[in-house]
Amino acid sequence: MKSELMGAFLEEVEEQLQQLEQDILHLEQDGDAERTIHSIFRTAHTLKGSSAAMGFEQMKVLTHEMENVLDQVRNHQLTVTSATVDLLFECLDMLGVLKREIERSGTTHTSTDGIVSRLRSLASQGTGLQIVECRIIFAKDCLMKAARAHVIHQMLNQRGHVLAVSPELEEIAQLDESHEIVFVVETELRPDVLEALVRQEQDIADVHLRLRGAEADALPIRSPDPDSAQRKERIVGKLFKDGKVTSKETEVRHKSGQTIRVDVERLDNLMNLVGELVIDQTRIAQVSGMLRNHEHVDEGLDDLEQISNHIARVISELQESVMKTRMIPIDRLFSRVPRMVRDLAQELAKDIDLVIVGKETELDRTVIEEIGDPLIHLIRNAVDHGIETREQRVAAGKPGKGMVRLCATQQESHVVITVEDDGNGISADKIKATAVKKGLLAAAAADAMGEREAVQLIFAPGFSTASAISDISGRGVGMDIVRAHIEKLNGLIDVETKPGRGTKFTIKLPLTLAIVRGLLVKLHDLTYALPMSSVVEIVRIPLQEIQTVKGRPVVQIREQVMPITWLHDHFHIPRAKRKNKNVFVVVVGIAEQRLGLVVDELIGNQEIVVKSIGSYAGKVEGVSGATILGDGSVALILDVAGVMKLASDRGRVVREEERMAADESRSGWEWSRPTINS
Amino acid sequence: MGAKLESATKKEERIDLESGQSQQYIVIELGNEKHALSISDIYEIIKMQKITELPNSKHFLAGVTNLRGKIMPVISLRKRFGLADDEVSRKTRIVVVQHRDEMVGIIVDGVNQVTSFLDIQPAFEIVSGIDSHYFAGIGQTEEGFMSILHIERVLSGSETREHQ
Repeated sequence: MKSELMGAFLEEVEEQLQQLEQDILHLEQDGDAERTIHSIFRTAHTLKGSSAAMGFEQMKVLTHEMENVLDQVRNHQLTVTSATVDLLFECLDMLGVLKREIERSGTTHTSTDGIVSRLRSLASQGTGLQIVECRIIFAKDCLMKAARAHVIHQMLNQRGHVLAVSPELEEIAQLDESHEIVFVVETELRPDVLEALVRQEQDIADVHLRLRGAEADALPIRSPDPDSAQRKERIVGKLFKDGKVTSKETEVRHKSGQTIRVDVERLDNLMNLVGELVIDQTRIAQVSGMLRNHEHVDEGLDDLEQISNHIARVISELQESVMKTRMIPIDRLFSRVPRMVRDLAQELAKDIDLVIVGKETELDRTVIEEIGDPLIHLIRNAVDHGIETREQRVAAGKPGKGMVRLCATQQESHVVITVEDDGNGISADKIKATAVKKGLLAAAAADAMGEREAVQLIFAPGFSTASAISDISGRGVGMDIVRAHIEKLNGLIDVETKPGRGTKFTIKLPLTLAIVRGLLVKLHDLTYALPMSSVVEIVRIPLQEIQTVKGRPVVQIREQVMPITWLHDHFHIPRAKRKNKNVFVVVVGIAEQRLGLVVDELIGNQEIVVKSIGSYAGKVEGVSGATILGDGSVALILDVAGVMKLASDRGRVVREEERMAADESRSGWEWSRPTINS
Repeated sequence: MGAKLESATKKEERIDLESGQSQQYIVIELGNEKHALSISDIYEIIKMQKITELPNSKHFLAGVTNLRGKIMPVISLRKRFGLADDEVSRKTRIVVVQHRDEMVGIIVDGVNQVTSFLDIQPAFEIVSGIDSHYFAGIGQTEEGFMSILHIERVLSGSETREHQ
């Protein structure tokens, strides 16, 4: 029970922090728009309430102080400066730290004293606010002093806060001899303006104004509470029993749509169950197919097939609905970006406009989790290496302000994310030079290489062009890791660049990872699944058309020479006896690369439920996961990127032997790529 | 199988209450040898079923199988101990154990009774040709001695001894 509560609390904090971050960014960009301030105030207030309820004192105090500052901003007693925004950002970071501490150890360790005292001093500054003692002497013939006093009181309260009245309003009527009343007002108005306002009232003989120190202690009504804002509320509340204070609370209303919070684990479980159904459905279809092949076809078989078809439809709808529940807008990820770009730009003294398009695009939450790091890496790269400094840009005749564009769109069953900058672009020559220097590419091969091909080198392991290793990107982990990450998700990444004009990275991702369309093939007697998304075409080729070029088997398909491979050799499976003259070749592709896989049998394509092999079995090159077939057995899902690597590694071995024989002749870069993870 | 195991366990428990012994072991067969596995390590025991090989993986990893809709890696204890290949018989079983949040199956030639030991001593250097690294100790029963498997080390990836 307690942990459930804690989970809910942490989740809420996470949400509120994201909201807070967005709002503070807004605040910085658009100044103190009332709605933004209200929203930040509300968030701080909510956090204060929940952290107090959970007993996290430091978080409560911090949010309380934030609330005070924001309250002043809200009441136009404090203007938002960049220092205010920075301080709010610091608060946000501190709250993040506290949240993580709570998550880890159930308590907070980091001291918030520094930041709290800075918030307090900011709140006490209350720029432009003064406390004015306003002594009013009524005319001797004034008949209704009490009523007059009330009117003045109301007027003053519209222009500021009346902190105290002496004598108290209720007592005025009794004090007949007295013609004097003193209001202590907190206001932004200059004393002369205030005086003029008061003089407009009737029956007033004279008005004396005196400025008092802004110090809270100077207030006539003493209170042991050092917290001036709270006291203010109390005093005002005392003066106005009709509840001016509580009106503040009513603003703090939760926006509650028609949604419920569901534990992610439950959704995962639901998805697993749907997966089971998919498997069983294929099984039913398989069994009815088998029955159809029998000599005596039972009359009930038609019914069975009908039911099976219906179930298939229902399951696919169910699957879609469950999938949708797991989808979250990519905004969850994109919302982290503005802050990051802001901080980076500030650090690098660059001027950058960030444009975000399509943040409402939805993706499976697993994909969103996995794509976060690579995407952040790309954006950091764009800001750090892509966009030039203002001077450089102006010198190049470009607008001084750089632009980074982050865009997400859905295209059928894929989501395409692009990261684009209008910076310096990637120089193919520089890439080649670096690749040669790092031994990834032979000098001769570099000369022969086209620009487009050269740019792709940035994805090669161990490649990083940053001339100086900065704190921001280029810490040795480079684009190869980014690509590996994306390929793990069955995604593709591509880069386009125009020197001097900018660079654009395009990432194509499947909507969901849990269930994909797979092509089932057989190698010998083993069934494998290939994700349909990477299958380009299937061809049947006469055996004699397979030729060998430089030790690698190739075929020609529509004038295109394509390398082919027998996965059998990599997986230690005997190649099938060649009964017929033709072989099936499944052409798979990633970006522009193509590879033909020779398979012994095609079974067909169906929905497959992707399951992890787990960490114990470890990473198997060329295999991305497993699925359960209709007969309950396990089929491995081939990972096309890995298969291509296997094939090219094998090519490399052949090449090297060749090179030894043919003395000096240098090999191309792709074969001399050092192998990682093995 | 499960039911039989359960009844055996229950019987043992009764005896335990009388004798004060606590730890229980399941006796497994491997070739001519018998080994013991702590009952607390074991999640369940299933019959041999179809296993899909994983190419280019650890040599003692037989492959993966479907355990009620989950993919479970399965190792061959014979291969782990460098014995001749498994001959799958009607007695062949997969002992499912938990290894760091994951289920892992271990193929054994057979599963016998539940037992408990009078005394446990440190493992000898070599137990019938198998590295003592894989054993947690030698247990003594009324019938004789039996080596107790150290599941963590049997499952762990490294081929060589990690300490000693």
